[in-house]
Amino acid sequence: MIYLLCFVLFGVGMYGLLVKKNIIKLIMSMMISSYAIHIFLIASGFRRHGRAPVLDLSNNMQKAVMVDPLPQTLVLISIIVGAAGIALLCVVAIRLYQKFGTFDITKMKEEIED
Amino acid sequence: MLEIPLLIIVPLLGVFLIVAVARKRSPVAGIISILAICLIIYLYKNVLCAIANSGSIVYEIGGWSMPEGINLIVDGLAVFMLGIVYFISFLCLLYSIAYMKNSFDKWKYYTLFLLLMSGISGVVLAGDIFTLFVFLEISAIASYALVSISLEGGALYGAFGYMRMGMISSVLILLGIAISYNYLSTLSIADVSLQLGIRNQAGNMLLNNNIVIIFISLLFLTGFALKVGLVPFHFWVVDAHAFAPAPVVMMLSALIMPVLGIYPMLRIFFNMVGITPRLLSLMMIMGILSMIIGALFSLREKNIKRFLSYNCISELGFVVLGIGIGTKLAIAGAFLHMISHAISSSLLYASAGAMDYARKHSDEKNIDITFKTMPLTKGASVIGALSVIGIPPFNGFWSKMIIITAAWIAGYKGNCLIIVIVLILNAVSFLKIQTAGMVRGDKKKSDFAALEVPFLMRLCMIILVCFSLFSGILWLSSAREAFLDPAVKLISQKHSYSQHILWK
Repeated sequence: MIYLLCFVLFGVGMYGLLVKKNIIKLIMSMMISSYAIHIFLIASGFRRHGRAPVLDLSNNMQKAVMVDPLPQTLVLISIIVGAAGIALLCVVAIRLYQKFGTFDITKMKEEIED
Repeated sequence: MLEIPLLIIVPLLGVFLIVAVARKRSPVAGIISILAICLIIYLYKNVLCAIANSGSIVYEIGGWSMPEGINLIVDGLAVFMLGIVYFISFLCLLYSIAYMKNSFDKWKYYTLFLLLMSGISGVVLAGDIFTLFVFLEISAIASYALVSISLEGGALYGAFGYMRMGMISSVLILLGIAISYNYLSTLSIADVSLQLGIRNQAGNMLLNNNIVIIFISLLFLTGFALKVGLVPFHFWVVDAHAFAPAPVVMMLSALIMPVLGIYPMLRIFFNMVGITPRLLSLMMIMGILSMIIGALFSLREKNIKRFLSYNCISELGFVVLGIGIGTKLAIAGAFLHMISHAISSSLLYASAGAMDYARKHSDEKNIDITFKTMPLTKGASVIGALSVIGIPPFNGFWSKMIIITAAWIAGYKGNCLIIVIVLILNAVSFLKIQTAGMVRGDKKKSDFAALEVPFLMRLCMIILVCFSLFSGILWLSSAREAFLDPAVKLISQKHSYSQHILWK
């Protein structure tokens, strides 16, 4: 079920990235598609009735049902990297608005080619 | 082997130093970055000596051993790529010290440059796919910022297109990583290859027909082809190249596109998931399409930077075609062509940048600055063009001849014909551009003898010309055994990588 949600979100993001003309909408679709993958990663680490992945040597029985900790760290790192990229994108979007007075990519292209 | 992480750490240290020290005193920034690169080249030499004895070295970060921890791995292919990276980026730095002399906030440029260096070293050295992804993003973000550094409208627009495609590619790569982790519960490249081998031997699945593996391969192929700018995904390349400053474009076409695109492709397909004939033919088709379309589009361009960027697409198509043919000879040819592409494209962009520089810095505005007033720039540009067309003494000839020979031997005779046609198209388009540069100025040479560019830029072009003349030597036996053969061997033998790395 949650995998389906991921792929729907991913599809929405990809659709926006490829079709939209407005810069802000493009940035938002990038964020949506990367969040879809984050959810996918977290979901792939899920174990039913799992507990927090803290190694407790006194009680070995519980080790079997630990949630997989690696995807969580991957998602953390990926969020940081994504945040840097999105920040840079927003800066460029602001600069572009200052230069051209519009958020529409096609209008910018026309203005450059003139 | 402490040198291996230092290859990543030293440029990062340079970044911190520049931000801390050189913000107010901008000449220091250039000196710091030159020092950092010299130190890296010294470390690289040490690594090269160590690798000659042992074949491959694994550095375990924090002492965590192989399949679990994060590892940096140096082997034949990594050493080969790092050699190209450090050579070209050293020359780029020399060039940019002269080129960026009058721009106002140089320290930002050098900061991003060193960050890019660090990211590229990390991509080449990474031993697992997620580390590779993180360094890929670091270098990609640095290069987005570098493309837009002039803050003109066109540069920002080009950078935005580049970022859009870059973000799509990194999302696809991350999805590929997530699915392969979900499927195999491991991230290390060598371990994935081993697990797949075990499952294949156990007979419960056929590797060539497994739907998950095919899906992962396609995700990675699309992601990295977006980074290279191969033909269905080539739209960002031209806009990103057209308005960026010349040293940035040199880096972009000679290093960033091959190293961030083709190198991970090689690692993942040949060392990790295992190459299949279908993937090879897909890569071959992509290579051929980019060769033809790059050459055709370059015919109608008048702006020299746009022209060269289409040409760059076509050249990278040659590399991917060589990999796609897949025999040992063809892969060696592809590697050789990666070197010769790095040299000739940076030579061409250096000469184009020198023209720009001379136009910008001349006192009289409407003067007709042509190749006539700048003999050295003209020579560099002509030699670069001859190398791309494939005229015998220059480097482009050797690599292209090897790829053609390999295609002929492997039985792809139609491909040879296509390569020759593309070369003829290249010759026509270069002839057009060069004559447009030469014929126009009919004034006397003595009127503007002083217009040649600064010494460092000339030095950079002279070094590149020398290498363009002599890099055919790499195909001779001793140099090839030292430099080219280990890389080819690593790619062509399917399981040698994982066995080498895991049982050390």
